[in-house]
Amino acid sequence: MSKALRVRVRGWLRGGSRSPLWPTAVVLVTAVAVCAAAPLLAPHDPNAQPDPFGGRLQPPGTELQAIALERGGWMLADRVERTGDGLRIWRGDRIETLDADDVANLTPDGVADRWYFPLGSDAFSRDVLSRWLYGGRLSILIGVCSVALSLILGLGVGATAALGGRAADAILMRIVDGILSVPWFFLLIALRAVLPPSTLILIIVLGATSWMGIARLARSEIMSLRQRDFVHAARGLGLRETTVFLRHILPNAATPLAVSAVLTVGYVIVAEAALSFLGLGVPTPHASWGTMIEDGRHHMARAWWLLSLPAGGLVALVLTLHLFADRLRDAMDPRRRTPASPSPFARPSAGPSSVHADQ
Amino acid sequence: MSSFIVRRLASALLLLVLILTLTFFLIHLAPGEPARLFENPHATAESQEEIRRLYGWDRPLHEQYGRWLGAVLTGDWGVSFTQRRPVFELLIERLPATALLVLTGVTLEHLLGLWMGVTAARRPGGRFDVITGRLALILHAVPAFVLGLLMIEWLAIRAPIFPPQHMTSVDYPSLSSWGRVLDIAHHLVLPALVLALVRFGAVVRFVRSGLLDVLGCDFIRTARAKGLPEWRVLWIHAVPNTLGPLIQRLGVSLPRLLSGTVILEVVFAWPGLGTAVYAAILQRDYPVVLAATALSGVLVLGGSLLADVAHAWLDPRVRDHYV
Repeated sequence: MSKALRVRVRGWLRGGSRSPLWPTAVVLVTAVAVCAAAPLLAPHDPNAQPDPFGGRLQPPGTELQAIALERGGWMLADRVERTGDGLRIWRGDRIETLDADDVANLTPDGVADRWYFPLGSDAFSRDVLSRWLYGGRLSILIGVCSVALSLILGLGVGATAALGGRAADAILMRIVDGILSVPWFFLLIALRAVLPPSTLILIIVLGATSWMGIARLARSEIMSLRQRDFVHAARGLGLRETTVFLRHILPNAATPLAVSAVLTVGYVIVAEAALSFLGLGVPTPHASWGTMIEDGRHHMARAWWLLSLPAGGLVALVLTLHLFADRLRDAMDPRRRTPASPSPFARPSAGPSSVHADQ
Repeated sequence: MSSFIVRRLASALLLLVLILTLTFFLIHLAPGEPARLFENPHATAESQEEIRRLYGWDRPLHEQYGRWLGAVLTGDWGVSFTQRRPVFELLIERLPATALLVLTGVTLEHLLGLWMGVTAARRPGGRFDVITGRLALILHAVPAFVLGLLMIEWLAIRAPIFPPQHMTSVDYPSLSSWGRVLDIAHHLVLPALVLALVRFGAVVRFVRSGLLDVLGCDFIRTARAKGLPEWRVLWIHAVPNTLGPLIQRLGVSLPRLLSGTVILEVVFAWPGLGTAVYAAILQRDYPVVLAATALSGVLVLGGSLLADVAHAWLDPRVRDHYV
């Protein structure tokens, strides 16, 4: 890293004295790292259903006796007692007996294995912690990939509109207005309902419907930058148009675009959860926070952890993204670094507007 | 002023046609033919052909498009495939429930936002200001459907204070007219509250920053010097000056909300436009989807047009800077 860049990055992280960037950055990076490491951290396979009868809807912190069956698979029981020729087991409200021949992990006073649910289990006896981690990973992955796509589309359309002459500008911006006047969520449901269910298609649909805000922003940024003296100077020096664009215009438009992209990631993650909640998002049995919320909804009266945990994850992530975008904007804009007004409020956001409103 | 309106109207009309075109081709180019809805093992090839001809699906796409556009513009929105009723009737029937929910929610949102914004602006940086700011920020990050589900869980199921879903109770028909009003109001509390809570943060922000700009002005000092009571200075002299951006925002968001708060209505099983459109999309009830999209397009364009005109009327600078 060059010294100039190092100083700049340090400046960003320190940000304004009132709102430094680094705490939110640390939280965000940790959250992403934890979710990305789901395969290492998850205690169980997120889709494993060890015993849909004995292990269903267990509250957080439950440890069950795991009986390995000779014919394969598991039985989970609250209590196991060794009798003369086998086992007596308590599962839910039932007491059953098993022959010793059927059990593979027999010990003198019961069975050798335990099945621990740190955050409880769902209606199919799947481990909620594992699903939560994998679900977060999928939600973040979908958010980031979709926004990468929408960034490409938005930048392409915005730059074409800004640099391609009046006709191209008028046509493209009318199209943007047109798409924007159909509520975003409406468009998403319609597209998802007619396309086959798959995570890849979901990413494409989310990306293809969330680029309009970025396109508008890119257009206005590029248009105003094009008139600036240093761009005229670069052109006057005889640089090629592409070089002027890539080296002088684009880097200066990067800050607002990055802020808008971070906010869009938040919106897209919420949209994915909402779609999954309606059964139009991530196909079953894959865990995403949206599908987990949908699962939890049917057991609200009995199992609070099924709804509250994924909902909490979603809210915390989106909140962190919003804060991060806000701090990023402050940090990268020197004019805002000295806090003029001690405002605890987020500034009006760029990106697809009123996403919550559409829902 | 009139040339401003004409210009704005022309571009709105153009946009409307664009939206209609977009929706039409989107739906017709998607895989899955509506004729399959009528598929049954006993249907002969001829009867399927008959259905295609009846609905005009045997004709080339551009011809279908022309016919459909003409029909829509003359007010004939077709017949729902699944319910065999005119689409217009179907949508109009659902509108009051959505309007009730949205208007209550938006009113609540503005009452809450105005009160909090004004109180926060009176002492910027004070405790109330900071707490309100944090609260608004957090609530802005909570998706409406998540808040709705959590409210159902904690305020309707675990603590059965409010009904969890639907607009009316089972015994609604047997209630007196006052009882019916109370019943609907009881059902309305949670969804309207959710709508207000996820949206009021922006109102607080607008009102607060607007007031901070205005409170330093001369006319406020004059009002104070006249010896007016503080509430009069705030609410009669200062607050109206902050309403511009709020009206603008309402012009954009109200039509969107009216044309279907899909997921909120699904969560609360609210019998409004949103649930109707959601069901129609899942059943590929094309006429309903197309009509709803068109309706929402008209509402959104009309709303932003009205907001722009109102803004231009209030602020001459906008008029001259347009396009």
